[in-house]
Amino acid sequence: MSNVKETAVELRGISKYFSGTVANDKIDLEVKRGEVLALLGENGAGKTTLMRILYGMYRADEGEILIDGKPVTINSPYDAMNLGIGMIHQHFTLVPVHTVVENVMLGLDGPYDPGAVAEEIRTLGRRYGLEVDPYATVRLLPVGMQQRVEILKALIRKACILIMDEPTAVLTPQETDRLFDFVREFRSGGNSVVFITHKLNEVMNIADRITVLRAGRTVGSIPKVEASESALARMMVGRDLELTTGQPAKNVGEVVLDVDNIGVISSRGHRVIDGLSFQIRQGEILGIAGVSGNGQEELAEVLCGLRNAEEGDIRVSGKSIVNCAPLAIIAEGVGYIPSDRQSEGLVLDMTVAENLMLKGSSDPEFTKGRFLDMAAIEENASRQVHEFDIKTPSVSTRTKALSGGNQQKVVVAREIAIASKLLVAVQPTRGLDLGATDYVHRVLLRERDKGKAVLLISTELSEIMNLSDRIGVIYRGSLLRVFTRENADIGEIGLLMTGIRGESNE
Amino acid sequence: MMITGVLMRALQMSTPLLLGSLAEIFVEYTGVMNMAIEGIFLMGAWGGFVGAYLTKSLFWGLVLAMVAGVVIGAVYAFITVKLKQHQIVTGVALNILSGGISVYLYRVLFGVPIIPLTVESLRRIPIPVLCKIPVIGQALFNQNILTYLALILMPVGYWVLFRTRLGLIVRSTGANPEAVDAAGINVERTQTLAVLASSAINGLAGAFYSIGFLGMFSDDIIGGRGWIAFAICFLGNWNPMGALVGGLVFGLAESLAVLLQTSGIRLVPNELLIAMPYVLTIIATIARKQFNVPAFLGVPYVKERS
Ligand SMILES: Nc1ncnc2c1ncn2[C@@H]1O[C@H](COP(=O)(O)OP(=O)(O)O)[C@@H](O)[C@H]1O
Ligand SMILES: [Mg+2]
Repeated sequence: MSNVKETAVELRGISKYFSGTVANDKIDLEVKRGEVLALLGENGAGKTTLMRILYGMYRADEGEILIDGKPVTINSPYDAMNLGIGMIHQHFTLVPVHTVVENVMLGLDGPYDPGAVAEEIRTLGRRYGLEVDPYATVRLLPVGMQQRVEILKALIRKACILIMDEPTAVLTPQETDRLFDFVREFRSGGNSVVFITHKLNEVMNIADRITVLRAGRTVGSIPKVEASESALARMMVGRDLELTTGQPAKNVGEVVLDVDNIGVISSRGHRVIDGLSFQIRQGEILGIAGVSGNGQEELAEVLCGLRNAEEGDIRVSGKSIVNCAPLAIIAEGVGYIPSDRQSEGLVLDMTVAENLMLKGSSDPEFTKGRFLDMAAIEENASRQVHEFDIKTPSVSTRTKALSGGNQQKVVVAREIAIASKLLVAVQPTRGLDLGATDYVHRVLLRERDKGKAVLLISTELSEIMNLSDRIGVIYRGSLLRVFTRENADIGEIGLLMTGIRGESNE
Repeated sequence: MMITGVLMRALQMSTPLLLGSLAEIFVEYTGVMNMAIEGIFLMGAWGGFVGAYLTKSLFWGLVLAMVAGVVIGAVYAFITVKLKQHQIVTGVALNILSGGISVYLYRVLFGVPIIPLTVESLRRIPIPVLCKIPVIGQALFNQNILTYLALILMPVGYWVLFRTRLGLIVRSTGANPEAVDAAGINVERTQTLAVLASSAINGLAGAFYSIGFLGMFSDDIIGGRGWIAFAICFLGNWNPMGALVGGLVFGLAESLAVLLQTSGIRLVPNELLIAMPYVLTIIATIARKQFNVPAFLGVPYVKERS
């Protein structure tokens, strides 16, 4: 690598205010030619906002942007693209019902010629190892492929500064490696990459330099060679944080959950779960790993009565609950932490106290005759707020005013109260900062140690590896294999997540 | 002779339905329903008549019809696209408003005439040679300018939607507005322009009822046909060629109903015949496997929550 590199992008004193929050507070940032800059920070630190400003999707309230040393105004992504800036968004900006070539052509200047663009897609795909069928419908492509389409969109517009917003969140370990190969290849052509992430190991792997954001401000910027994971973690969180690692289960008891060969057909007529069987015992966490969209959500929904199974049986402590109403399943002591707390877990316009009793509106604990017992509801809420350390001005505050971490604590508190036997947790730490994530992890382990059975469904492999006593891999609605904690191998699990079966020695 | 008459009238009856459904297809692809369609039809009928009556020129009638449509459309776009308010509620309000305004302005201009005022309606333009073809010649090739326009616009609309850059932008906006935004295209502008363009076309469609056909205006002249055009957009599965078929079916049913009524034949109750296309619409809607309904139809695009 050359020693002195030219600056490609410089952001000076960028501020961005959303109603009530300062997303970016006088941020300075520099990206050099031919370097990979990791933009590191917790969820909510302001990384996406800052990069959306550079890409022209948001307008900065203060500050200036310089490209190659010259001040520029970027009013829309169109301007950004003309300056050679491309962005891969965390939630892909693709039109699912259109083909790859239509997606790439959207907004492209020049004559409407799908054939020529398809040819260009193939050429670029070969050159960078991003092959994809130009005439495939995006909706039918796996997420890894969809990401390629996003990258190709930027490449075809001749981007030389590529922003990638948490690109590995949806990928398997092998896909991540391939993405890193692309990033290195792209950098070697003198291009720059801004790589947004909150995963420390990735930073150490791919970055040349690291800029850390915390609560909307720049904490610091250091070259990779001077960085260490622990130092970065401290910069990110602002204090020392000792992360919990799960100890293996000690007292495994009787079978609590027995899923017996279930099959589920989606409303579109696809078979989303196919011959799935497993058991979970008291005092044990079963982790289900897999790329999202392989039947995880459907599995959780069947367990909680939100979806019917066409075949098979589900028993909780020996009692069949398959296709029972949610209320009956709740009565059996099954708690459910859904993957989307805002739309499924909470009613954001209701108060913390109301959300904490939400599923108990017919429970004698919260009712007096036909009416709700408001005193009992509030008392329950005060106790839970105290026990789970939920930061809220009062129990009658609307839940939407809480931070993501505290919202999740409301869900967790309620579901743990319900889950006397089994807790189903789907992506329980999605979008949480490290502190809140660690809290949820500790709670799951604590409940396990109390003798509950826990089903943990997550696409974060590190979370699964860290907490589970046994690990199953789900692919296209089937469990390919279940590992015990001792012989779980991350490489093999990664391969299984893409459907490649190794030697099966169950 | 009777068949020619039925076909001719069928094409006339379908003309505004074709124009309206095509306009609706385009605007819905951008994610906005033009729920003010019934009111815009009415304003178009009003504008067509008033323009033609005052200037003695049908051309200016058509222009005023489009202007009147665009005015309502502009209000609709401002409220739904810019202010992000509820489309159905806004549409209902504007439909009621149009009903009042058109009658009010008619009375301000002309008082309450004892015999309804009339203008000469759009003249038929026979296409040389082609109009001599037996049976269909007169039906297809001796129509007024709006009917020709409608028949030409359907395939042109199809081509624009599926074979041009503009069409790609239009189809993408309602399917994922964020993708359009990220591609450097202004979502609000695209949606606003689509609402305005569709309103202009709907204005023309409305004018067909006043000056393309009857040569007069009354407050019940549209009688729900704006909604039929709206439904044909669904019936045709957001495809102009599908809407072409749907529009012709409705036109044919209306034409047959008129024939049966005037000739005194009573095979089936007249009302049943008129109801047939509606029944068909419901059946087609239920029976359809794949809906091309834009994923973000009716959902305002909010960029920054504030
Ligand atoms: N479109 C938006 N409207 C309002 N507030 C937003 C919007 N986007 C982000 N925010 C807020 O700005 C802050 C920073 O968010 P973001 O940039 O997404 O962080 P990061 O990408 O680092 O996780 C958060 O508090 C978030 O709630
Ligand atoms: Mg982000």
